Amino acid sequence: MQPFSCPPSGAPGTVVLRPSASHCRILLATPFQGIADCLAAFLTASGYLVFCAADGHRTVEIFQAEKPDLVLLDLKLPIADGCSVAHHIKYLAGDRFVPVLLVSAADEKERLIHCQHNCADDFLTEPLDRSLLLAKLLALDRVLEIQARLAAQNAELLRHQEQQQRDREIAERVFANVLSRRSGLDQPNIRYLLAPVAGYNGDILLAEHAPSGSLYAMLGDFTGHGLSAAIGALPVADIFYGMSAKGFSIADIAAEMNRKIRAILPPGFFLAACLVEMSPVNQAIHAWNGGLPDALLYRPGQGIAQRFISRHLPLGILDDKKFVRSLEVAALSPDDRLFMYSDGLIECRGADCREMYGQERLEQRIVTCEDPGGIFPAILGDTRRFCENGSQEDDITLIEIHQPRYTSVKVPPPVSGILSKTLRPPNWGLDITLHAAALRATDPLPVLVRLVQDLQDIGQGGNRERLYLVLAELFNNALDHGLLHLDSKLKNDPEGFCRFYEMRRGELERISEGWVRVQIEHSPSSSGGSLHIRVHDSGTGFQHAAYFSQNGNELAAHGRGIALVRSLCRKVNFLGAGNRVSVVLDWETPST
Amino acid sequence: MEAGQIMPVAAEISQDGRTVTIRISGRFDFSSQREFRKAYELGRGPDSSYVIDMSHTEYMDSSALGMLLLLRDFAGGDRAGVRLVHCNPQIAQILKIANFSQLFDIS
Repeated sequence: MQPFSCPPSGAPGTVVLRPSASHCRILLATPFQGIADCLAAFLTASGYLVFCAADGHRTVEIFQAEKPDLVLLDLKLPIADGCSVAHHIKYLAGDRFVPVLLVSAADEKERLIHCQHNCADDFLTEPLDRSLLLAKLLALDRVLEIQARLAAQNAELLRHQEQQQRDREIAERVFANVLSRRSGLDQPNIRYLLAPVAGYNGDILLAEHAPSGSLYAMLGDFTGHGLSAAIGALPVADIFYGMSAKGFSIADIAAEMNRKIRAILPPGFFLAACLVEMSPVNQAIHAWNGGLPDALLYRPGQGIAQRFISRHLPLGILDDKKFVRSLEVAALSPDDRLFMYSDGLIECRGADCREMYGQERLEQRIVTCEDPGGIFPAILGDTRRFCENGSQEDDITLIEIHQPRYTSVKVPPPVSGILSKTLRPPNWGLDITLHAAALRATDPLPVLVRLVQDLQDIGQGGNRERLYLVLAELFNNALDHGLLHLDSKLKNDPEGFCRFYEMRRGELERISEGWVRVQIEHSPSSSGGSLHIRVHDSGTGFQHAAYFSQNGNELAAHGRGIALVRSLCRKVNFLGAGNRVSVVLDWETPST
Repeated sequence: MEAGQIMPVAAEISQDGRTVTIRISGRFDFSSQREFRKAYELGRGPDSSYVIDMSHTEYMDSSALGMLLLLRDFAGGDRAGVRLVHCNPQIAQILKIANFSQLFDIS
């Protein structure tokens, strides 16, 4: 009996389909040569690339060598039968899906089903119907398409995951570096808990002493986690540490952070924050709370003496003009304890998922604790119990600052440098001496004016221009006449003007000695301030008394300059041999 | 829409096209981002007014607050007409702590 029939053509009306080019390699394993030839010809005509094997051993060999996409296997293979070959092939294929179709005689149904169950994907019984075979193969082809697509998507996903993981690690590292830069938090009177979700934090805790001896502290909660929090943390920490070390008020620090966050992070990102200043000297605590739960001031014997409620929008939302700096103030007694926490603490949820820790429970814990020193560990215990078996959804952050009983607070060394543009102007002075080499190399005027401007915002209304004019006149006098001995009468006519400056350049190159010293002292006033400017040069000076009595109203180039200075300054005095001049320039804050 | 099927973010425009009402069901968090934006972009920016119906909103996190800020930007910033209505006590509390009543009309 012929094992199968091989009609010359397919049934009428058959649609001819071809397998996709990427999955058209088929391994045909049958011991029957006639069938092999016939099927091979048919499959080749249908678009397949056919490999043939006549026994089990050879089948496995060819499978390993050629890695076909499909396998058609006759159960009756010699040496190793179809079933064990199917097993072997599946094992060799590993993760790759290689469909295996079994062919068997009609009376081998039991065996076929057993094999199919374990490692074959489809089956055919003899006599083989070619069009049915082709239909099954093409169906498998679709499966292979899907599988290929899935594999590609998986590879892509894996790449993305790895990239994300790398980004997350960078963010964590940056965040940790930012926080660990200063040890402001490592003080005996500060205890804190930082329990971020999944290792990357969106909460930030900062503390630093101000020159006044006050302690500044801040808790911040960024929208989201990971990269956006890390990116925001950098400038925020910089601003906090920089400004608190210089004694700015927390209102100013908050305003600056607000500006920076708004400028850097995209809209929709903000920082809920609470800043406090605890001043043992003034016995006061100031707070700015924008978006965090109530900060609680605990007093032994009294319970919660003060709560600092969020009255502001979080940082990064309002533009600078609308930003509100107002602070809450309360008395601060020795032994008080301030607690600040993010909403992750309040919302931490237990296994039953219905109840969260809650504000009330937290306050109860604080108020009912017999030993004030035991409040912090008790809250920690509560958190652990509540989050046990539950999933932590948000970063949990808690800080306790204990106001020490003694007043020997740490005062850092004085920091010279840039003061606030917005504080009331304190007194300051500067003293700069430029020797010949420096005079050659640099024009100090813009630097001086900028320096004064940075130290003291004398702002608009022409104040800065007036300062420049006065400084320029005095400095150039000192340099041109005092050191370089140039005659400024040359500047009267255009030709002379150019020659003057040529000569000036020449003389400046030539000198090896000499100096100009500029001293500026500032005193504040209710409407602005006064700048006492002194310029002293190493030259021989000029006969100032004689000069003025001679010239009177006559305006020589030199005199014109001095007349201008006289008109702008309250006082003008030439001292010594005329190589010293002292003026007082008043400035006023322009009324808007 | 089938009975019982709740779309997390559902939007509708008034007949005159001037008011967009967005209803948020369940959790209003980072996963709602794309739907929420599609919803408010149905409006004409500052020329429309927006009503966010929170009657079925169970939970809101900080990224949801961020999305509200984006909506406010889209709706004209300071000139924006955005109302948050039917807030349950938890949602109201979150909005209160964030002082969002300074930016939105909340009821």
